[in-house]
Amino acid sequence: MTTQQEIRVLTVDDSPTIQIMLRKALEEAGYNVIQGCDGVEGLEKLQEAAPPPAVIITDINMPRLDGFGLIEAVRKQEAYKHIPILVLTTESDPEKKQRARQAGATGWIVKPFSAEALVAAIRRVTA
Amino acid sequence: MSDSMDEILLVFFQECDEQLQELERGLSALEGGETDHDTINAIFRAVHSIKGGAASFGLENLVRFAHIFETSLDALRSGRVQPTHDVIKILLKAMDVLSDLVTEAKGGAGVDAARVAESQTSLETLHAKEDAPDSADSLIPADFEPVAFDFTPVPIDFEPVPVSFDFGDEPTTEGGDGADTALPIQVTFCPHKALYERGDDARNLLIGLRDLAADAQGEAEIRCDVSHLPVLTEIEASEPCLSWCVVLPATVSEDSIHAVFDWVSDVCDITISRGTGSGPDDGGGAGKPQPEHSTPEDAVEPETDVNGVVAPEVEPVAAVGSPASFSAPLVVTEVQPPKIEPAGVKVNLAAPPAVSGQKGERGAVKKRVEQASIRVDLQRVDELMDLVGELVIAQATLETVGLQHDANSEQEMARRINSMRTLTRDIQNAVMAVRAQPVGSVFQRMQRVVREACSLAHKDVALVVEGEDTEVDRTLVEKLSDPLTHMLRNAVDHGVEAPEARLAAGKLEQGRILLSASHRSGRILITIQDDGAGINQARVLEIAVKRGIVAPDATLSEDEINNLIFAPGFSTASSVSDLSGRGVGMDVVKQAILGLGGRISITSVPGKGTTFCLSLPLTLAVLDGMLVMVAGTTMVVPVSSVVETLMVHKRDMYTMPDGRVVISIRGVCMPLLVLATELGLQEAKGYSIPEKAVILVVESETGARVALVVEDIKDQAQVVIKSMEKNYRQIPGVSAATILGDGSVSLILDVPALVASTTERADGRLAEPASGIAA
Repeated sequence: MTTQQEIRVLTVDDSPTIQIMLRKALEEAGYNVIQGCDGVEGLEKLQEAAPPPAVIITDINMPRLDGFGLIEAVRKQEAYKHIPILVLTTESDPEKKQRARQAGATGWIVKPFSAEALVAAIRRVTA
Repeated sequence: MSDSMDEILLVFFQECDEQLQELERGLSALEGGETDHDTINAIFRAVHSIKGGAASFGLENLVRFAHIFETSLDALRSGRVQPTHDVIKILLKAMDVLSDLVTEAKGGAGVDAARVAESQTSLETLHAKEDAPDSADSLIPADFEPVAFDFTPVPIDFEPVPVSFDFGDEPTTEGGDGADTALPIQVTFCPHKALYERGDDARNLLIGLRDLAADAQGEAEIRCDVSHLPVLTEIEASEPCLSWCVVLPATVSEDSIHAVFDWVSDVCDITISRGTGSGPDDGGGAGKPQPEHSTPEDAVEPETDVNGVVAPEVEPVAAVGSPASFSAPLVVTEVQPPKIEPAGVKVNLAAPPAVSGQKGERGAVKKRVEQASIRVDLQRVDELMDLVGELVIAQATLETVGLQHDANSEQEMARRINSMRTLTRDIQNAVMAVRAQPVGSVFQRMQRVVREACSLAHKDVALVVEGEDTEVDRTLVEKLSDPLTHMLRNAVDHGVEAPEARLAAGKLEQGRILLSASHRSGRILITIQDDGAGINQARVLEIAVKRGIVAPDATLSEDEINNLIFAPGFSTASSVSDLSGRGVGMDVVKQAILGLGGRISITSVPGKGTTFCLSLPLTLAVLDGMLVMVAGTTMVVPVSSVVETLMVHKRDMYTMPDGRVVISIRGVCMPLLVLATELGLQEAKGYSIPEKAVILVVESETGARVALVVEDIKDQAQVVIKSMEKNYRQIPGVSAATILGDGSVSLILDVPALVASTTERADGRLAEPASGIAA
C-alpha cells in the first residue's frame, strides 16, 4: 500500500450526497480531500490548495460554472494544466463524454460508482 | 447496513428535499413565464441530482422515474418542447410523483403505481417524437455490485492504422478470431500530444497494462521505442516522441486491454495483436516477434523483425515517455514500477441491497430519517459562540465580585447580574435564531395542496405566497403544515366559488388565494386570504342552530357568527366532498393552532372573500409572562394576551340580574372574572371583591375581552414552558407550568379557555365554571 497521505484530491459537485460519498470513499482510501460545490468554487479551491491537488474529480451539471467550463479553465492555466481531471457522469451518452474529452478531461467515472472504482480511477491517473 | 451508509442516505434525503424545493421554485418561475436558460437548467439539475443520488443507493423506482422526467426536461432544455401551459402541468404532476417517490424511498407511504405510470406516460409523450427513450433499467444493473474495476467497457473505436510492410506480408489488424489465443498479446502504443495535454501520462497506461499481466499471473514485457527521440538540443518538451511495445501473457483478454485505453482511445494509436512475443529476457535481438499486427507508421515498425531479416533496434530503454515537464521517472528498464497493492478500500458505498433490502433494515432507515437535523447559517453559530464566550467571562467576573466584601460590591453585583441577564436573553435569541427556519418550506408544499384541491374541486385557483422568508422556530414550521393544508383545502373548496359563479359575479375565472407570513410584535402572523364569496352568515347561523351549537334565540355579533365555523361538528359543505369531508373540521385546525400557543381569527366580507389570520409565537419553549398573585400563589399570564392592567374601584363594577359581574372600562363593558374563585382556589360564596381591585384585561383570539381580578401583579419575566400534559395531565384553564426563579412551580393560565368559558356562560350554554385546580 502506498502512502497516500499527501495525495490531494479536489472534488467538485453540487450534490451534497455525492460530495459526502466521495469524501468518505476517498478519505477511507487515505486521500486528502478538498471540495467545491460548483465550478467557480472548484477553481477557487484549486487556487487556494497548496500543494495543488493531484487529481480533480468534477461533476458536469452544476450551477454557475459547469464541469466543461471548469475543465477548460483548468487546462488554460499553466500551473494546473497537467492535473488529471476525471468527470463524474450519470450520462452514458457518448456525446457528453466526447465533450468532456474535448474540453480536456482525462477520464470519467460513471455514477453510480463504487469506492473501488473511484479509487481505481484515481490510481489510473496518479500512478 | 453501515452507519456511514445511513448517514449518507440522510444527507441524500435532505438533498432531495432541497432539490424538490428548487424544482418547485423553478417550475413556478417557468409557469410565471421565466423560460430562460438558467431557469430550465436549474429545473433539469434538480431532477438530475436526485437521479444521480438515487442511483448510488439503488433506489430503482426513483431512478427510473427521475430518468424519464429528466429526458423530458432535456427536450425542454434543448428547445424541442415548448413550455406551454399543458407541458408545465405535466411537469408539475411529475414533480408531485417524484416527491412521493422520494417519500416512499424514505420509508414513507408507498406510491400508487398507476399514478406513476400515468405521469410517466404523459412525460413520455413530451419526448416521444425523439428517438426511443433509452431504458432507464440500464442505469442500475439489476444485480449492481461494486466491482474492483468497473469502468464501463466502452468499445474503443479503433482506427486500424494501415501498415505497409516492406516484406510483402499481408498484415492483419488486431488479433482476430483466427488468432491463436495461446499466443502472447502484443500491444503497440503511441500517445499523441493531446494525451498529455489532457493531464494523462503514458506511464499510467503502461502501468495499467502491467497490472493486467500481473492479474493474469504473468509479466508484461515493455519496450520503449526511442527511435524518434531527437537529439537533446532539439527536444521539444511538449512534443511526444516515444512509443511502446508491450507483450502481455496470452491469457490477458483484449477487452481488458481496451478498458485500459478507454479514456485515451482518441488520443493515441494502439494496435493489439497476437504473436509470439519475445520472452522477457530475450533482450532486443533474440526476440523474433511475428506480428500479424499493424503498427503506427511512426512507431516500432522499422524495428520490427518480421522475418528475422532486420534486427530490431527495440531496446528495453528508459521510459522517457512523458514530455520533460512531467515528473515521470526517467530511468526504468523494463518499465516495472513498484507494485501498487490495491488500497484496502472497504467502504461499500454503492451497495444497493442495503437500502432496498429487508424490511427490518428499511425500518431502521426510516427511523434514522426521522431524526431531525437542521442546516444552520455558520454566522449564527458563530454569534452564539461569541455570546457563550461572553457568558463565561461574565460568570468569572461575577465570582470575583461575589468574593469581595467592600462597600461597592453589592452595587457592583447588581450591575453584573444585570449584564448577565442581558447576555442570557441574547443567548436565548441566538439559540432561537439557530432553530429558526423560513416558513417558505411549508409554503411551497402548499402549492401542491392547492393544485390537488383544484383538480378535485374542478376549480382554478392560483396560490400567491408572500413573506416566505419569515423565520420561525423549526418545530412550528413543521407543525404548521397540517393546519395550513386543511385551511387551504377549505379555501379552495368552500371559499373560492366555482368558475361559472365567479364569472357571473364579475370576477376573474381564476380564483386567488394569498398565503402570507410576517413578523408582528414578537409573533408570526400568517394570513390566508381568498377572493371568494365570503362567509354566508345567515347560512352559518342557520346550521349552527340546527346542530345545536348556539341557542336559537342567541344574538351574535358578525365575528361570533364567523367563529362558529370553528365549533366542533360544524360543516357548511352540503355534501361530503372529496376535499373537506374527511372528518376533520375547522375545529381541529383551531385546536392545532391553539396547541401551538397561537390564535386564529377570521374576517369575511360578503362577495369579496374570507381572511384567516393565524398569530403564532416565535418559539414554543419560552414565553413572556406576567407573574400575578392569585389566592396566595403565583401564576403566570402570557403577556401576549394581556391588553392592559389597571386598578379598578368597586363602584365601576355592576352586578347583573343573573349574578354575573361586569365592569365598565372607559365606557366599554366586559365580564369580570375573579381568578381565585374561577380556578376553585377560594370558595365563591365567602368571596367579595375588594374595594380596589387589580385587574388584567385579557383578550382571546376571537377578540372577546375579559377582566381578570388578581390580588397583585408581581413581575414580568420570561418563563420556560413545561408541559402539564407530559408531566401530569391536562387541566382546563391551565395551558402549562413553569419553574420560577425561586424554584417553585407556577401554572401558566390558558387565557383563551378562560375567556371562552366566561362568554359561553354568558350565552347560558355552560353552567359550571372551569373545573378547579385545587381538586
